[in-house]
Amino acid sequence: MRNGLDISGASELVHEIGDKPIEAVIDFNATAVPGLHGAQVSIRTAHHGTQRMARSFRIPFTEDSARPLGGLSSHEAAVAALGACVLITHVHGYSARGVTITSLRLTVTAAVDVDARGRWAGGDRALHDVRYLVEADCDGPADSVREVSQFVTCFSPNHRAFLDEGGYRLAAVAVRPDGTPDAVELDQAAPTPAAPGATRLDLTAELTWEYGVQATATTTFAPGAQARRERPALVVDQSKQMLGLDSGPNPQELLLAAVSADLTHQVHAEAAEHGITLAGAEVESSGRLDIRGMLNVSPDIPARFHNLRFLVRADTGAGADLAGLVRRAAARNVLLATLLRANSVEVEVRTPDGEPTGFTSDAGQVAAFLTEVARRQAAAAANNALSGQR
Amino acid sequence: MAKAIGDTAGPGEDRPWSNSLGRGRVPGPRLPQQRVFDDVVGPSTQSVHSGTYIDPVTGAVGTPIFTSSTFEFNEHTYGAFDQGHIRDVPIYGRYGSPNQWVVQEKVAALENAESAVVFASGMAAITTTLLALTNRGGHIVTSRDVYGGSYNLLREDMYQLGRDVTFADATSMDAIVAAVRPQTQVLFFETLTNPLLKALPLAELGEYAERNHLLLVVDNTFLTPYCLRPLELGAHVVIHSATKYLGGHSDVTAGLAVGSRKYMDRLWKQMLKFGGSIDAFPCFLLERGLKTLALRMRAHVANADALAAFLAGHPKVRTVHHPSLPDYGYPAIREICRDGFGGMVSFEVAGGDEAALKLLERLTIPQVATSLGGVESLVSLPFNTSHSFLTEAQRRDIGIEPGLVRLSAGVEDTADLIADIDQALNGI
Repeated sequence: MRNGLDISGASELVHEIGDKPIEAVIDFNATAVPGLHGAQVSIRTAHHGTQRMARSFRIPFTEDSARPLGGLSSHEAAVAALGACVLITHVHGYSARGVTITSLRLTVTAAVDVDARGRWAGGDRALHDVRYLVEADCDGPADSVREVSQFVTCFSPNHRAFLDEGGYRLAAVAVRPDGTPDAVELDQAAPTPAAPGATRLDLTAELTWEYGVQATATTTFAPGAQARRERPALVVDQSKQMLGLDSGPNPQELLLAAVSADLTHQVHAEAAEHGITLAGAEVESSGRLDIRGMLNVSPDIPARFHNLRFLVRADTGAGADLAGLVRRAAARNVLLATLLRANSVEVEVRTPDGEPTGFTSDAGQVAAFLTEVARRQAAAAANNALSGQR
Repeated sequence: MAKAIGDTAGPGEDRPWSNSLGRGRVPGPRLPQQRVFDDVVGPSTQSVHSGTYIDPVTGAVGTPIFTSSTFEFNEHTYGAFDQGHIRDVPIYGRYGSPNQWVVQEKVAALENAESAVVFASGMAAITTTLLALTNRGGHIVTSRDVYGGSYNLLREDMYQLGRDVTFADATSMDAIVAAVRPQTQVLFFETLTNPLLKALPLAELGEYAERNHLLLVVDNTFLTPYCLRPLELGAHVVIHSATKYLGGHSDVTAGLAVGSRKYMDRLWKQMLKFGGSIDAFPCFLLERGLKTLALRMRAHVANADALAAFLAGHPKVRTVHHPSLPDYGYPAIREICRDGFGGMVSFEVAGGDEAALKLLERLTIPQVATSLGGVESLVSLPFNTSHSFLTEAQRRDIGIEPGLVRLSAGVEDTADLIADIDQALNGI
């Protein structure tokens, strides 16, 4: 057990999915309903290949981040979800190289814009100025530690979800007064322009590695510098089927919860603005992880958290245009806009002994690094074949 | 299991990312000195030989008893600790020992499985399995027909442990399907129920579990792998109270779970924490009993079939529950159990529980005791033993009527058993 991770278990999983590709696919689910100050998200049963993973987590969100009330906002949760995934992927990377961790911390910062009334400024102002600092104290050589961070930018599913130009599916189901469901599949919403007079809100998530695939997160924002989720800290973990302890939602579930909560809030804000009465409104969301992508087993399969789908279901009046309302809400949604477009992330790595190093992670960096990995793998395979001939 | 290629995952500079790790799952755990046969040999041969440890120094044909609770470390031990595959290396008695591995290998061979875990009791096997294969917030579908100890675990403790349970009719696919929820992870039933010998729609259940990503866990204690191999019909894990037929001599308390290495590793990790591990000496007794499993099961099956036919024609008997009889309600079991239905017979005597108690007093060969599956015939009344935790209405609901007698047919002479039961029935 290195770093609390069962390397043999991880290795066996790699071989299992080579034989049974279906076991590589993990579908996560969440449902958001309106809460007191935002949304309450329940993490639902996930499907890991041919097994179900029951989940038992509820996350309350506060969507009045511009007017602080405490609690966790969806944007803070999204930043924490990015950080948790990056942190845990580092643990996998170090462990696979035989590197033992003494401590590992990761600080993610990002900015979001709010308008003069303190509301999110608009969809085209996605989360921006995203950067993270990796502080690793471990027994690996500095070069190796730095290279793991390069690997992580390629194979961390949430990092890639932030980085890649992605997509999502959106649907609205209006349940009419007579109980008839009126379902509409919607196109992805083009983000609306930012409102004039937008000001910047800085978000920070600090992640601390605990053991294995478990981490704790605290989040803050400024101006205001309100500490959020300080006590108790948000715990992010994997299910026991994924080498964790089931002590919290995993990074993909947290990201799904964040987007669902944001969308729930936006739908209700839009409804209030247009005088539409919604009852029983909820957002069902799902997303997929394919281990073949994140383990580099199959280069054609996305490493990122993908196949995202959001379905808004609400009881509405006979003539209410739920589809239009959902389309507008999605267009103003900061997190959906972030997932839709290509982004870049500034990465800095610090170790106790070495000089801090940094690089910009974007589509070009990932492509170049993966090309280099493929070249090395081909060279190693040729070398092995040659050794076999001898 | 085609990629079972060694015992180290092998991290390091030459393995930069997880896709280049080298270990696949391997059957076992096994020691190189253990005898391993493929599935072409019959159950009698598997019973006698599979898993036996041949001592490399003396050549002893039977497995020695390794009483040591701990084992000297070497480079493989340290490698296993580092990599996480400590199940494959002798380290400590609770983690695994040669005598445990011998029994596991033998029962895995009999069930046509990759791996098995032996426990200190059948209940340790059941508790460990159900908790290992579910998460907090998970849901289990089972039946009131299961063994009383299992029922009490499911009814009294699972909710405390964060798992929800629904009881459904084990013989009805419709009832089972109706009980399944999005959170359902495990379907847990007995292949032949206690005490009424109702049969599961096993093949249908296996297909349903596969389609719906559910794990099918079955307790195969009554039938044993001699009569039925549930893994071949879609079950994911098979459980045995090895105290019964597998041990076969009423002299050892043990349990087993059998299945793929993937699931057995998960159970084993749970067992390490729950502590239901078994010592070397009971493993030795279990191994010795297992060597004659096929031989004994043939005698149990023959006696049970003969007793069922005899009881069905006796005027003091109202009903007989046995798959060999023409009016048995679940005839599909005959398609999957070609070699018999184990050694259990249940029957209702005219006159209710009072008459049944008198019957027990008059019997001279079958002994009045709980448990089953030993070479000696045992008899008990569910109303005051295995199912006393149910109300009379609940017992009636699952078909346990007053006067029900549960008989575990041993391997005595058939004529002696029939004569004794006949005189006892005639005297009530």
